[in-house]
Amino acid sequence: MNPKKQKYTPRERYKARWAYVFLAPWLLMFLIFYAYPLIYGTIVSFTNYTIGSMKWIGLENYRTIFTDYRFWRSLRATIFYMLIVMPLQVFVPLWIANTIQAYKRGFNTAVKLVAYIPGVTCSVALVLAWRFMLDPNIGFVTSFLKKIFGARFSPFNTASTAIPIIAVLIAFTNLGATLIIYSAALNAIPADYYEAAELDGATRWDQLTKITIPLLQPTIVYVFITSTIGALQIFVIPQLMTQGGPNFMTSTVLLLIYSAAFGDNKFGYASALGVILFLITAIFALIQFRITRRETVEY
Amino acid sequence: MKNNKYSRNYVSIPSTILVILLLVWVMVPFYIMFFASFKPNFSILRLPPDLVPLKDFTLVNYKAVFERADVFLWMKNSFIISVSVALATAFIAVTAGYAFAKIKFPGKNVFFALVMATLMMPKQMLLIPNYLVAYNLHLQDSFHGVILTTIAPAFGVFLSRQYITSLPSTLFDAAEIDGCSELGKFFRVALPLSLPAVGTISIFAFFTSFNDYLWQLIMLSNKKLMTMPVGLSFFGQTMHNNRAAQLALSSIGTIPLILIFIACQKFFIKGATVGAVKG
Repeated sequence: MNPKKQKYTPRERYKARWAYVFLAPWLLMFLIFYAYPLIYGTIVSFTNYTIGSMKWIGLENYRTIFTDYRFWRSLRATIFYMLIVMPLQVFVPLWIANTIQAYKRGFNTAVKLVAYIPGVTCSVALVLAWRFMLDPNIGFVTSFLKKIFGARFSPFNTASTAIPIIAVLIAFTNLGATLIIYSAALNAIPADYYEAAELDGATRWDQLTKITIPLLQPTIVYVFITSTIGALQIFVIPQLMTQGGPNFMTSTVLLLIYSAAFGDNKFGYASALGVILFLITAIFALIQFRITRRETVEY
Repeated sequence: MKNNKYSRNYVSIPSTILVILLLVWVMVPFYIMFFASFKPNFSILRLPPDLVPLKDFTLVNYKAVFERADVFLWMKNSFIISVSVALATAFIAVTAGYAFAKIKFPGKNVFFALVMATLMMPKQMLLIPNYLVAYNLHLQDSFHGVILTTIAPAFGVFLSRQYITSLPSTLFDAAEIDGCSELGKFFRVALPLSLPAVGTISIFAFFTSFNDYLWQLIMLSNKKLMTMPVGLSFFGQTMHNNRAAQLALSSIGTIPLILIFIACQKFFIKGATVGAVKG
């Protein structure tokens, strides 16, 4: 007998049955809209699925992906976005949180609110405003840049300028949530630590690098992982700013999935791309999962 | 150390100025969106554009928007979808959160690991299979289809479990001794006490589904079901040269969300930290 099972009294067994009732709505949603699509998508990735027909073609889709320049360009662009977005999302809110820590409620809250606003706005509305500012012909920001870099400068014609611009726009739409996370973590550090350090003659820089940063390390790791996973899902802003062009140089993996399925009607191929994206993300999620588990042992 | 209680309370003026400048920069698109929407197209299209607030004030862009775009329909559709998603998410989250927090049952750890896994793995990854499943279940091009497929309760389950765990178990024991049934304990004790968590969960779900442009773009092709984000992008394409009208519609789509956000700000401050800092 499993010793675990013996721990249930009849009363507890009755209650455990109710637990499954309470769990049922979530479990149903999980099975139909998460677990089943995951399995189904993996199966579809081995077929040449188009709406209405489906034929098993084995690893053909994967073979095509790895020889498809569109995939390599999208993957390269996704990593390029990630390398700019991730450090900005990790360190800029940390710096803001540390700066506003000294202020009382009013200014402190105001900064958090303002930083959060782009995050609750329709991203499409924001993109329309940015497109007005950054239009290659009539945008006033572009014309200002042209004065600096020369009249032929066109920021969205090459990935080396388009991706950094879009990445900065993406990074600063999500400042708010991370800022709040860091602020809460900063507040949780006991004041005694700083007082003791100050008595021992530690400078402010020492306090930042020897107390604040080490104690915030779990939070920093969390933000690092979630922003990395988030960067793998970049879609809306490149899609509306450049459509991934020119020729997939500013595309992302998710954008390629979208255009393969809904542009080319290649659902099998798109599913195979989805499986690859899923596996890449799962690696980061797994790292995060292990770290969180370690910290929530006492529950 | 007179009035500087914590040394982290040190005010750095240069750093503060940089923070303010950064936030001003973040707000520039909103300034432009709002003030340029009240100007004639020609005055914002010249270089440098005229962006002085309220100069050459005109409502012509808003008139164009109301004539050519189904603004109210798009707004209504977006609200129907996001409010339903918010309520359904909160319900599913709190029922499951209650089971995880207060009941002992076999398989609890496995189920909770699934919650954590879905919390870390965003749904966009399953874009294509999710669409195919929705398609096979005839859920595309309908509100209930979009609502059902948008509900993503992992975050809420996690949040409400944390919250309900913090409620004293004696409350539930007392209710049981007083003759409360299992359902009664949920509806009369757990649910009323976890209303703050319900608020946070529904607000987050509301904003997430309101902004779920990609999924709505794929799922809804019927023009009568078009939502605000999809409508905005559609309007941006059809009215490509009328920038002022685009900005007017963007303002209409943005201002209600900012007002709701400001009204519900305390939920954001509470909710954002869930998952990051163990409470």
